[in-house]
Amino acid sequence: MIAQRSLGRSLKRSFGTGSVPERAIAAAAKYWQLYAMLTLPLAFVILFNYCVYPNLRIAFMNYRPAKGWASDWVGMGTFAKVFKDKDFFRAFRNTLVFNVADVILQFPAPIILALMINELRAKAFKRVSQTILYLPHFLSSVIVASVAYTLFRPETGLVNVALMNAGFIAKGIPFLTEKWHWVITYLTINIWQQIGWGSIIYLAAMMGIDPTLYEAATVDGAGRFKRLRHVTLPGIRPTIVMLLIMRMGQLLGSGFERLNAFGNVNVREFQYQLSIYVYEKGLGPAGDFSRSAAVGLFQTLVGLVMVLLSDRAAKLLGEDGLV
Amino acid sequence: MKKIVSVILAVMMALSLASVAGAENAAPPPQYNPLEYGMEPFASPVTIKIPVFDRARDDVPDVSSTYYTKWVNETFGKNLNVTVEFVPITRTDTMGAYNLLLASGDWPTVFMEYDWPKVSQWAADGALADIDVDAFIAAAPTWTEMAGGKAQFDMFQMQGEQKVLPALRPYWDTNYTYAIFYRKDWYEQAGIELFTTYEEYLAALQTFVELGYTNGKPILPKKAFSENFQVYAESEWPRNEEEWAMYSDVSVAPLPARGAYYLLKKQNLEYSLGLYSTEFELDSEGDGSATQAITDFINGEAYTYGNYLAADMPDLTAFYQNNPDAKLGVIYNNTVYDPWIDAWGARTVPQGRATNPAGMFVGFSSKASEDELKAAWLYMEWMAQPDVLFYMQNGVEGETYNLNADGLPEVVGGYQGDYWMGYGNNKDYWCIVVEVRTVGTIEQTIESIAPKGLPQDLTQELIDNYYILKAYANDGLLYVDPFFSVNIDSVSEYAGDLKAKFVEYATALVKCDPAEFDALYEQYVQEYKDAGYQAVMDERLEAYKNGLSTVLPDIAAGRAPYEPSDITKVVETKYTIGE
Repeated sequence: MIAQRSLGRSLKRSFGTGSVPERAIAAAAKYWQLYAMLTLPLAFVILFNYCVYPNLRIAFMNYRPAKGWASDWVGMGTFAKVFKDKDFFRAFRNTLVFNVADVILQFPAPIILALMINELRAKAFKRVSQTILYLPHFLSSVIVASVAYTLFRPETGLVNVALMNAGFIAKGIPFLTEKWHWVITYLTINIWQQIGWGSIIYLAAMMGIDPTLYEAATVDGAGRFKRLRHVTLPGIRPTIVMLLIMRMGQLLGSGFERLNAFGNVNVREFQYQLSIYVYEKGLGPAGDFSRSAAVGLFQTLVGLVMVLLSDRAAKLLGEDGLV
Repeated sequence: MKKIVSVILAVMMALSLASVAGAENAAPPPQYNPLEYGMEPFASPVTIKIPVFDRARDDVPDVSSTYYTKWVNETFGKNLNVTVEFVPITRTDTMGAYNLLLASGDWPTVFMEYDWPKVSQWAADGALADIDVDAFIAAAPTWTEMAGGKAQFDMFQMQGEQKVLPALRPYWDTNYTYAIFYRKDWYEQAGIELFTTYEEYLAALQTFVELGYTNGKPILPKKAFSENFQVYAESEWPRNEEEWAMYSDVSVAPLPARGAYYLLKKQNLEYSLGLYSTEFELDSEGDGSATQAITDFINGEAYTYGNYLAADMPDLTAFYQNNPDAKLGVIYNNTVYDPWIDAWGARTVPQGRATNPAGMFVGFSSKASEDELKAAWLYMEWMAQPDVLFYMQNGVEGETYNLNADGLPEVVGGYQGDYWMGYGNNKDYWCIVVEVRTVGTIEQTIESIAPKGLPQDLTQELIDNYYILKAYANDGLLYVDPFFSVNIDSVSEYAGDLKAKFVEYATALVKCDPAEFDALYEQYVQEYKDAGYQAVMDERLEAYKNGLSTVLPDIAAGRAPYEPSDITKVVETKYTIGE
């Protein structure tokens, strides 16, 4: 809404008060370079996100690769099969719990980091530390996982060997080989990896806060913390809300690569999430693509409902929302 | 600066000229022109896609483009107006790789697999063409004759239809191409005799750990990592035929089988004695290819190393480089006899799983055109010609092989030059004809696939191993899994998931407190059955009862008396331990 309104205002400023199509044509003529640049990403979205919609019908078929689109129709049969499956509910439960934990633990972390970085005054130090914090984001989770295993193996991992040699512990801590330890290690590493990257958008939002507000607050006698609380945080609130709404859309999201890389047989009780389910019972050797599609469709529908609900909730609380 | 650049350029030019000259000096590749074998070129160009296993190894050339794949196209392809494309298939996920090809419409012309349940799944899905056997035999007489003729084809029909053709697997009843090596030098150093009982075996391993020969993890329970969980050696004798029909399969592990119980309990005991790494499950790839076990062996920490034999075995070469004073021995009849079972007192007869009576099962795409089918058949026929097969299996004389005193080819170990061969002497290319590389007699064959270029010559021990296995086979103690002439749908449906569950359960069972083993086993068996294994057992049993499967040999089923031959009596109690 906010975006539309401001676009409308800027159009009016630039192109007078003609009818909407007239103004749009005028805008297109003036900014044609920008629109040309938009075509490629737009084509990408249309091709890879919309053109595949018809193929979602494999969720309603008993799709066999060799038979292709001539496979049998089973209607809701695949969904019935999935919802009767105990393993599906285990995967569903784990995915939900991990995502909620992620929202609680990981979502605030970049905000806190951004607030801290924003308070730094030494420019060089700020830039260097920002870069260092971004770097882990660019590592593939496979690499992060293999480094993590090298560090945290119970018997031969560097950390455990060091702790044992120093005499702090007698037996290696099963950071990655016992399910509860694994949850903590897994989530912590995820926070470490994504915190820097996540803070960028908040730092950008902080740049947009009117500096006169800070001056006014200082004149009124607000200290650093008061300024942070009453100027910075409210300033980035729309951004936080927007990102939170988008995050809610991924409440059943589940990245295969990361879970698979960090997984091992000892922690399957918790590691078994929807992406693992989709792979093992669907895309993998079983070749049951219909099941994968059905679960994927279900995840997406839940995501859509969550986005709409949280958007509505945000509006009720007086925020702008997303939709 | 300019000067330096020009010098570098000149040197580079000289080098490239030299390499061109080098290539000119090499002998031209042989021209085994298919036209000379009576084949006729196609009027319009034909492309055939032949699957080739990609084993994800870095010590072999790119599977779809090697010197030999180019040679195939230059020789066979050009003369017949055929392009042969080699499609990489991930070895550890064959079905997944094929499924992606099928779903994307990029069907290979030829389908190849060793495992019957997989080809049977393809047939059930309609991926395979009905083979016109007479037309095939007319087009590929040499291939047919090698494979064993029409009678052999008939054995592998699916409900009266010929969906696949069995390639030849010479000496299939003994599994002699696989060997397990053990650290003989540890026994010598410790002054221990090779064990004859299970207690002695455990004592020996514990001694090796105490003496510090290894960092405390001499064995790896590799078998617990894979759906290919064979328990023939741990099963009762004679076999209960219904159980054999329900449980024997390489694609789903038979957790509820008594043999599985014994094998896991044994591994649990060995784990509790500290013979396994406490992290062994982290070293598995989930498919039995425990790379850490290989690394451990190369570093001199592991007690055994098992693999298929080839003249060039890079792992063994690396092992001797790291452990120049080490000495290896061959574990005889390794898949046949598990002394622990005798220690437990259940069984008196060693028994084992022979390999498939066929090599690759070769099928053809149901979408292939007549020309494509014909071209694929001609490709098989051409590859079956002795000259062609010899060249594909041995490469270039003086480069990849040399002739020995008997005039038989001996592979040059570690060769990685211009004529670099694929995995196992190009095995994944000529497997469409024959499963193992044979030269002359069986002894000469073993000699040719015995690892070369090592400080130790293991040939005689490998030959002995063959004769011991052969004695078992002659006695009727080696037999195979049932072949079902219908597709067992529940296997296709549940196999992937059951595999993951099995690995999880087996690991927990190996690592649990021995006192809790039995209860945990019962619990997991129930969960495993609920997760789909019950359906697999039921469907297999029904097919067996309906006469839709092969049956056990009479001796194994107890329908005929078992009389051990002299050699079986002698070797039964000696030199043996499973992996």
